[in-house]
Amino acid sequence: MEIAHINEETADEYAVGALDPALSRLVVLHGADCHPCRALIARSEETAAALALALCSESPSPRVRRRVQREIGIGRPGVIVRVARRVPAAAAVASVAVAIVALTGMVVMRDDLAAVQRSNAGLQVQVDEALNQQIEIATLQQRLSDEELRTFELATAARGDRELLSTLLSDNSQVATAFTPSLTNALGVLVWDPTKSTLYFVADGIYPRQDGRSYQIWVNEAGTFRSLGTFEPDDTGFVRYKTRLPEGIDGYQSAIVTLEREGGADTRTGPSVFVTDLSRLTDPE
Amino acid sequence: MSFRSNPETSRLRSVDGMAVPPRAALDLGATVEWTDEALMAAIAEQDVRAFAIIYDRYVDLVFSTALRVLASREYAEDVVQEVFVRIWTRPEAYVPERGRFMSWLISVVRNRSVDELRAQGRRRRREVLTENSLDDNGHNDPLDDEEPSAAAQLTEERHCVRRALHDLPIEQRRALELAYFAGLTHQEIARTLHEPLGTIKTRIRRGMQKMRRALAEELA
Repeated sequence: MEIAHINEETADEYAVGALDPALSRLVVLHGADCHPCRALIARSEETAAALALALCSESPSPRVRRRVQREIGIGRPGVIVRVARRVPAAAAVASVAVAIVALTGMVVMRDDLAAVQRSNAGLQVQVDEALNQQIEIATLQQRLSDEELRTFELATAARGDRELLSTLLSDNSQVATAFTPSLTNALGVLVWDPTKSTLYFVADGIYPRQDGRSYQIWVNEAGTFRSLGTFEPDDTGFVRYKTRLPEGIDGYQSAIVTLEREGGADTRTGPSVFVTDLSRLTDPE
Repeated sequence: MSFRSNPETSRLRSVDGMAVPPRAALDLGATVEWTDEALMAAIAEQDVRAFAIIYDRYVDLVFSTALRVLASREYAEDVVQEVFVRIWTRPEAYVPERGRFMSWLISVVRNRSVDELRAQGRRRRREVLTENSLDDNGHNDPLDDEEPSAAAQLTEERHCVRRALHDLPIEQRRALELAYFAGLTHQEIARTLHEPLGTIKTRIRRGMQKMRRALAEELA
């Protein structure tokens, strides 16, 4: 939910009011704490406000001025009251008094209405504050969720590292270097534990693929290549791939890693990336 | 008692906070062109005459903006009253460091009007009203005898904006109008115009960029 710095496009969208309300509030929250973004928003608001300058000018009725005066407490008495002061006739005074009573009633009603409007404005402020708090809570929940996911990923990686180390330290495991004909900076090893039917392929310096192809690992058994699955390196070019060996097979001549179509191929067709000779490791003779 | 005859000018302050001479030594309306920021500083000191000048200077702009959004003179006048009462009771809401007073004022009016529009659910009615759309002709600009310089500046700015808007493609103007005056979001504009969302975003982005560029050139 947290947003990074605001760019001009977002500031423009906010200024003209085209953003969703929730995103608008995030922009406001961010702008409250970030001076450069606040300045950017102000520039956009100035441009957006210019739209109003292009409108055909209209004037409100004169009574608006009087209403404003009265509302802020600087208004002069109304026309009826001023006329009443100049009319000596008692009848006129009486009629004006009636009018004043009526006007007073209207003013009272208007005051009540104004009080309700102020109350509504206060409620709106409370609603806004509550909404802001909800946004903050949602932001914190999102952060918590992200942290939990990151913790889970780290725990999974640590468990994988421990299993690999355990296999390496085992008397039953064997290690073979994987040679690479194409990736000059890449390093790779195969760690093999026949008692657990487990095989690890660990390598560094493999480029993550962006062309829709996948790395696929194969073992060669008497001239037949059998797939052990596909893998993808992480963003740093590191891979630790664990797979189980098919049962009922005692030895392989070699293992290779090839580039195949996305998701893996049924038969090996792509170029080799790593090649490993396993005959010495898997054939006791 | 009226705004113009109110003698409360002795407390009027300039923008840097210096006290100005009392009314006897200073004809406020005729000889000095007070900036909006100076007037707002004076309003913060409860200076009635400063408030009167601000009111006269911007009441038509405020009303026109509210009327464009609400399409009702009655509701627009309510917004005018509310906004100016707010200026008097909470002048500190305007922070000069964050931009021009006029831009802030228009934003306040626009936002308040859109809130009112949404509350009343009269958006559909707003959509069919086109009489007071962005005006290319510049008719009916006010000329305030008491503030000829301020009125002339406002009028000139309006002409500049109209020239800038005139150069915008109609689709971009329409998208900006629907967002700003009808209070529609991207998605709502896209649905209204039966256009893809990306197209609407592009129109708004390019419209604002052109406006900004054109205004900079015009006002320069």
